Amino acid sequence: MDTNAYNRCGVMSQDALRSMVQKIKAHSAPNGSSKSTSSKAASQAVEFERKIDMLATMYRERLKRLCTEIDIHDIANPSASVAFYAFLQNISETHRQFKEQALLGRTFEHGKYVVAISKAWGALIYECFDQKISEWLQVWIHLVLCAIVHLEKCIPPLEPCTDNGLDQAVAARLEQYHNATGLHVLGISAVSCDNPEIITSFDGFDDEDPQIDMLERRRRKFYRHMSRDSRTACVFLNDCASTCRILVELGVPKYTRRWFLSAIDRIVQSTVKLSELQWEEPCLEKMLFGIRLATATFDALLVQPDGSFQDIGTLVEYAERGVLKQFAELRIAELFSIIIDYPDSKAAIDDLRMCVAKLGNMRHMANLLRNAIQKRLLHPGATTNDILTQYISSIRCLRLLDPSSTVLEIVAQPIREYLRSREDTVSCIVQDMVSEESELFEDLASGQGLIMENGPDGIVYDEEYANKNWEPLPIEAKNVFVTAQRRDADVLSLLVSIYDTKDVFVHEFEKYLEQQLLYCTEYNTEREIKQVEMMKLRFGDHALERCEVMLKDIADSKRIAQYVDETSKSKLWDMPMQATIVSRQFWAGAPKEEEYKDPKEMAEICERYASVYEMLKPARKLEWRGSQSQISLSIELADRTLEVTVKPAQAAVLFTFQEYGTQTLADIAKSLGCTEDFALSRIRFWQARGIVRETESNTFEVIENENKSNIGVGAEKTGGHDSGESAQESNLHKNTDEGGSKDDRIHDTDEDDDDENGESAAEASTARTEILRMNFKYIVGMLTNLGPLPLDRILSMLSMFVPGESTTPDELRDFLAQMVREDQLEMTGGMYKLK
Amino acid sequence: MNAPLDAAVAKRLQSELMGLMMANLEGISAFPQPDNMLSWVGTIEGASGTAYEGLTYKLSLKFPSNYPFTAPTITFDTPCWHPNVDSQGNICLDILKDKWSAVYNVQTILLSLQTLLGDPNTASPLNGQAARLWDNQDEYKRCLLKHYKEHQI
Repeated sequence: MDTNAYNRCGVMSQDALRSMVQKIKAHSAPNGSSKSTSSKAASQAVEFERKIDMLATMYRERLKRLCTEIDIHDIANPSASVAFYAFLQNISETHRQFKEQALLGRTFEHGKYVVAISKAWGALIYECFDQKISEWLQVWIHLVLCAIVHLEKCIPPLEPCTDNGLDQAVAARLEQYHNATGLHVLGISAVSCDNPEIITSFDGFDDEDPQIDMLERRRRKFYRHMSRDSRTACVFLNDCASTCRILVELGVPKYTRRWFLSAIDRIVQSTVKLSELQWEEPCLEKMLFGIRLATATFDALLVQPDGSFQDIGTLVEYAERGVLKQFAELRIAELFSIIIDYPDSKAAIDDLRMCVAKLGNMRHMANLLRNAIQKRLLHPGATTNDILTQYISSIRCLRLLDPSSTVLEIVAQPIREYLRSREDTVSCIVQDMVSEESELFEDLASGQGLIMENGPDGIVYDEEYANKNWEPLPIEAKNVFVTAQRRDADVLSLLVSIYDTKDVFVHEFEKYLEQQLLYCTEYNTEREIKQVEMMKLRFGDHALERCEVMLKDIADSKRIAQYVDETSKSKLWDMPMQATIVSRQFWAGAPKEEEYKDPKEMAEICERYASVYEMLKPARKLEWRGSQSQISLSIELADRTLEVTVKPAQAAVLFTFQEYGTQTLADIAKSLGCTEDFALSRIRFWQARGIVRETESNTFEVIENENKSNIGVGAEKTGGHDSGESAQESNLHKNTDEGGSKDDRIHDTDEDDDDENGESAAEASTARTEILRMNFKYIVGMLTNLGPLPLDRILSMLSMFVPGESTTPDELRDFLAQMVREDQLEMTGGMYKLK
Repeated sequence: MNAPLDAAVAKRLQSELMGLMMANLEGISAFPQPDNMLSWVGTIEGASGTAYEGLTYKLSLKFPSNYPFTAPTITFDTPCWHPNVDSQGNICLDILKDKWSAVYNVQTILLSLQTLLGDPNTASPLNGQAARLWDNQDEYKRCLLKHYKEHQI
């Protein structure tokens, strides 16, 4: 590239102009042009216009020929750059000749003529620079910017060195820039790019890959040439400087300005695009720095800034504004997903906060995020847990973004409304609150003060006045009402404040606690006591009185059980039962008990327990709640022994077979004193477990030998069965309420423990697991479709949809735990979900 | 509250549920909502080798009280970009409309829907854009993934 030739040429053209101007001045002065008559001036002007028109026609042809002749296949190619540069030089030369010819013979009022000439020239350029050439120019400017960014990134600045082939004028200009801005602009330092890493990093690209767009492909090719050595880079810079000078000289700043700006827009766009989805590291500063350098260098290369950019500030400022704006747009569009990734995406949040602070478009951000949430989150396909998780993350992110909580308030409002409309919100929050690995549990455990009920207008004035660090709300807060209370509240308080009253949470917690206490064995309530204490810190002692009573009931039950145990020892009978005795007033009503007679073995145990209890508390009676009890049986059949934990009603049905081997449905219902439907559903339970079968319609018998054919089993069956079913009762949870005497009524729950028939326990439990494995298909079905579920929901749905029903909670819990171990399920926050 | 559930309908649905659970078909599943046997949630995954491969869609299945004599109402809960599904999730499929027969069941419906995903009827589309793009599978897939991603949590 012959830059020196250009420089000589440029200098000459300026000299020529200057000498011409002097010549004109010398000519015009003695003639006294100012005194010439107006008619003469007018005729001269007309004559001049005609001449310019003629010249323009002539030069139009020439320019057009120049423009059509140039055919550059790929501007990124260095040889193409040379050709393009030569073309621009030709244009420049033509311009000079045009001016010269136009001014030839003009002796006065040259100022007016010069304006007319440059106008005519501008029109010509406008006409002849077609789409193709302006496209090239834009691409070229873009490439220059990219290359500078790239070089700045790759090459560490070295000691200033004069022997690097850089044009003196360019170097001086760059140095000036360096002093003024403090930016270390490339070119002052010697460029050395022998670093093989950089070169290979670009050689690895597959240029033919159709995924890469045209511009990107050119850019990479360009880099590759650029990266070879310092010489190339300097030649390139000289080239840039010269071309820039021509562009300015062309006298069409209006057009070039547009090209420059659109080229800057492009590089900003492509740079910002690089940080798409890069949330884990801060990007903004780095990006701003790169762009600032590139535009500063470029600005420096525009040797004669002609004021075209005054209205938009310097190029650097323009580029910075562009980066901030586009980057903010990008991150705001990504914000919903960024929140999902939080806290991994904290860097992205920090970047965004900087942008928003500078641009002041908080309201815009809030609205977009709100729309995204409405579109992507608040629809029936999302589970309540997902919505809650996203809400909690939003709270944390948006507080970082905007400490005044204004954005949060705008964004949260639809979420809160939607959550209120979902039935299971409260139970999800409570589940989350008490599961120890959740964030809410930490909030609860932190014991951060009582949660206030919203007052009639939801405002607490005193706090606002007392706050010394008070700051006025940002302008965006207009029409959004953020109370100090809401602003400083922790996540748990915010969730509770979704509802107007905290009572719903206390009730839900009571329900949860009741379930926990009813199914806890050994009266071990340590965990529950801790939970109640934490709840008290947040919700107040008064609200949790009911829970206190429940805990006390369990403690009392424990004492009574010990007492019964001692009494039974002294009377020489066994008490294979544990009872939980609860006060009816304070425990939610158990479902209505279905009517049936307990078999005498079970009834006897209950009676004994009740008699001891009544001795202890004379005015009270127990009413048993069978449906909330459990009973452990060991079933001995001719060829196998099974251990099962079942409901008393199920046990009662099996007991009837002890007396009669084969019986009809009506018989069973009669001996139990219950309806046929009631009996049938219990028989189906045993049927599903392969213990009972239906020989003919509504007639049932026990399967004694699993592997034998049906014929002839009948005879064996009855005998074997009898011996087998002298079943041990263990773990009988019973819960009764005998509609008591007097006014004090009590609810009782009880459990009992007995020794196990040690042998063959393992075998039996395998059999149970097999049954549960059948159920597992149903569990997979419900988890696939209904999303994560807690244990009690799985249990209740199994009993509702699976024929033969009934698994005990403990059994199911063990089984699910095993599935978790086998990696089929996952459990978080008390909810099971599929892997 | 739910309308009183006819025992025959409940029995039929119960046995369909069992059939579905035991069949254990790839990419197809459904389960009743808690406490309402007439309202199910379904899940289908796009079949492999189609544009919908790897995408999962939730459906809502509402059974009429005279099921199976009337077809269930089935809609996509997850927004689905497909020539025969509109923006509200309504589906245009003959066996759910005039060609319904009592021999169909949840399993066959879900299988038909899974097939429909990979083999749409572009002649009578509810979503014109999707139908137009169907012949250009690359572009179709790009639009589909964009739409799917936008509506995913």
